[in-house]
Amino acid sequence: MGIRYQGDKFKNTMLSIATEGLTKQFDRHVAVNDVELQVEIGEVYGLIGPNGAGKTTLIRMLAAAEEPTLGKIYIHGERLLRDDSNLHLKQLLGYLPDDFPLYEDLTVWDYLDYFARLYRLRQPHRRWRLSEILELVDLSSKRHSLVATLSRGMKQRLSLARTIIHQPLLLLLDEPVSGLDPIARMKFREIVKVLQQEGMTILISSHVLSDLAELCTSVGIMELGYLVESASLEELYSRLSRQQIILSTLGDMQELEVELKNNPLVKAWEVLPPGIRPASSMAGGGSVKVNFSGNTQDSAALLRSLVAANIPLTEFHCTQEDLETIFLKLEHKQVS
Amino acid sequence: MISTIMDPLGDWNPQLLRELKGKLNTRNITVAWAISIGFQLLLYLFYENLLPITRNTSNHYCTGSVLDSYSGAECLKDALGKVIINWQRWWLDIFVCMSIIAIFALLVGGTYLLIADLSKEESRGTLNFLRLSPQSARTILLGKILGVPIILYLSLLLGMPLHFRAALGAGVPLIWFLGFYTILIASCAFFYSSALFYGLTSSALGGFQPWIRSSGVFFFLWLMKILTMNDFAGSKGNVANWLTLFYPGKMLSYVVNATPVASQVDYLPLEQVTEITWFGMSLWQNAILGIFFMLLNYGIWTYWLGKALKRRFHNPIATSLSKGQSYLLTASLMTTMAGFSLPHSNVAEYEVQSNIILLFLFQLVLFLGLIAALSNHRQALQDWARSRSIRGKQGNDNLLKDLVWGEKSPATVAIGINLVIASLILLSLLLLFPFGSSTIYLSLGVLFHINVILIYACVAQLILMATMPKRTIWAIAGVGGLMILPLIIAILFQINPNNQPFLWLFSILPVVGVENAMGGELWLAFLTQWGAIAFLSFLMLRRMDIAHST
Repeated sequence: MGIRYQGDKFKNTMLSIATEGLTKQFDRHVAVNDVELQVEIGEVYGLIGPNGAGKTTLIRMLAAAEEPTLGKIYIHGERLLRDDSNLHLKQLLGYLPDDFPLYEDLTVWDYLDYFARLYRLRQPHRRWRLSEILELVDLSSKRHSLVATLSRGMKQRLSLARTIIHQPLLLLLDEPVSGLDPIARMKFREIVKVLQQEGMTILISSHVLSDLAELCTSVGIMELGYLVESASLEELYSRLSRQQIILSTLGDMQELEVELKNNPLVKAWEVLPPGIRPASSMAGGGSVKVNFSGNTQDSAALLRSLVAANIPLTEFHCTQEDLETIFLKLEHKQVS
Repeated sequence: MISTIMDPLGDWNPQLLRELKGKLNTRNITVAWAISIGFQLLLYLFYENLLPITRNTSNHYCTGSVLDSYSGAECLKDALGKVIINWQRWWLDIFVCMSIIAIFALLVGGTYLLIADLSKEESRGTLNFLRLSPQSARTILLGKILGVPIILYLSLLLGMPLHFRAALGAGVPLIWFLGFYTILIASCAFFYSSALFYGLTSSALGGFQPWIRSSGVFFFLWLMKILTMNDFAGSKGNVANWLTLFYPGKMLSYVVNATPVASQVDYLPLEQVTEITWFGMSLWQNAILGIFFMLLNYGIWTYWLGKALKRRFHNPIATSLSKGQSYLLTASLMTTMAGFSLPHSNVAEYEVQSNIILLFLFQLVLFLGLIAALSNHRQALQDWARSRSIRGKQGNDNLLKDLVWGEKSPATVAIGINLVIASLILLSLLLLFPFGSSTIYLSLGVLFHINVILIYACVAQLILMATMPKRTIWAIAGVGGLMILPLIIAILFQINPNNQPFLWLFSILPVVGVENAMGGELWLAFLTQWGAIAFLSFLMLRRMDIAHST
């Protein structure tokens, strides 16, 4: 177990989050182990990892809901402590836990008004902000309903509204889409995108890797308490993701395969079964997924050569391996 | 109009507004007011029924000469043959009755409501949101105190006109009427702070939490009511007198004395208050000063509760007090209690001894509280051990400083320092004031008390360091067992402290054994106790080393 202790190297830096040797131990179990996390301002940082990897504990420590065993946390360059010494720092944070408890005896408006007051929003700004936020989370029509009467998806959105009512600079979302249906998840993604555009730094943990791929600018992978990978999505894709081309033809598949064999940049291909073929190839012929090691110009050259060989192409679509495949490729072995 | 009041109120204290919005609904208000009005009506009818009628020859509310305490006074009649009624006395009874009901309703009901609310927030997980908000613990908890029992406040508010009418009828001066309410409010601040503190520290008890605490408050008030209503004369220079100052009804003795019918009533004797002394000073002789010192008493301990509340609210795994705070608290509590224990010069020696033995008991209770407030749990101790190992590598590890002042270090050394502080105060009391021949054995008793309490502290800390689940309950059981075991043995084998004092040197009151023990027995007990302390400390160090190495 590598333990380090450093000086206040992140004090007054302009990182949104910086941790130094952050460790949390519960009895003999080390939930978070010597984590050095750095998230820049304005990023959407996705935290991936199986259950029990330490994501929730890490987020709880960043929200000051849990005290670290060792290490320091800096939020916008200022040390975060779990006492009443930094009330203004709490004003910068928004934390949505995975179980989102609510006050069921209040109406939606009163609930948000209560939290707006807790975060020192004054009139007329408060009223304006409440209306804006209800609009954003699509709950304007429910403003006078009791919280107890809302659906799970609505409660989730109301919780998010509560978390962002004070326009925090840093938003910590722990498994925000778990247990939601696809439409509710889509709505949630859209809201997060709006918040990203508003300039909030967002740290989000999720099992649904496709959600993260769509939202995040950076990704961190946690396993057995360690942060084993932390990089921008761009870097991760360029380092670990292969380019793939989906091809569909109306003609003979063998002709297409002969042409592919002739191109040295084509590493391998896989004939797609009829069930997952693109609609354009349904009339006849077939589709293949090609692993291609060339750049954009090389793929243009491939297309030219196929057209020149009179292959009746109906689709030529460049794509990349998704986050899920990359995650599996990293061969992290911790079981949930 | 409501929003024009509520809006600034919510800006001042958002928590208060939240409580008001959650609780002030038509149903709640109607029920509370119906109960309040119904209760007042019943009370009025009950007292009206006690009034003399024409055929009565004697009654408590008659104006003739007093026959006896049971029959009351002789009934005189006016020219029309109607009984002349002592209305002032009648109204005074109603006033006192309503005051006591208000005390019970506010303190017992409020305690229950506050703890139930807090435990609901804790179990639902919403209390964490309040902790993470930029509001101070003071704002949130004040909002709870003012808002959670709002229905109770409203129903009592509705009783105020009749209460005022009764005060007016009894001839209670306005200043005393307001004085009573001032004391009542101060007592609410104290009892409600202690309720919140209890709520924040005993969530393990779950649904029983509010019942246990409010029953405790009820029992305390009931006991105090009995002590103050009747002519029970508290032993002079008795530390228990200090406890009675926490009962707001004590104030009623002053109020009754200020009425024109004071000489006619046989309850709430003024001596109950005026005879209390502190370091021999009759601070409660003068009523205005008396009220001031009652308020000061509430103020000091509410302040300490506030300190503990602030710590526990922001960090639920923190100890209730810092080690530095505990030294100050021990000094102030022991000085306060020692002051109340000081005997008058004209008191019999056996009474002096019993007063000091009672002080030893109070000291024990104080230290059991301190052990609970200062002992860290396994998690904190493990964190401490790990950070120490890192600081050790860097060469800036100061173990002694950590044990005396550190937040997460074991409590035993701090308990030891607190014991030294308490003992110095006790020894000064014994040496500076006239305790006669008892001085030597009482002073030896102080030393044995240190040993016994240190053993309890070691056992508690050792159990809290263990890996087993429900450590707190085991720690309570462990210390409780150590306290009860010698008593059980003494009862079973009929071991009398006069004949066989050795066992009593290990009891919760070793001073009882010290009185009759021989020199050899004292030495043997002393060495055994320090052997136990050394062994327990060794076990603790070994556990720390294991935690260190993991």
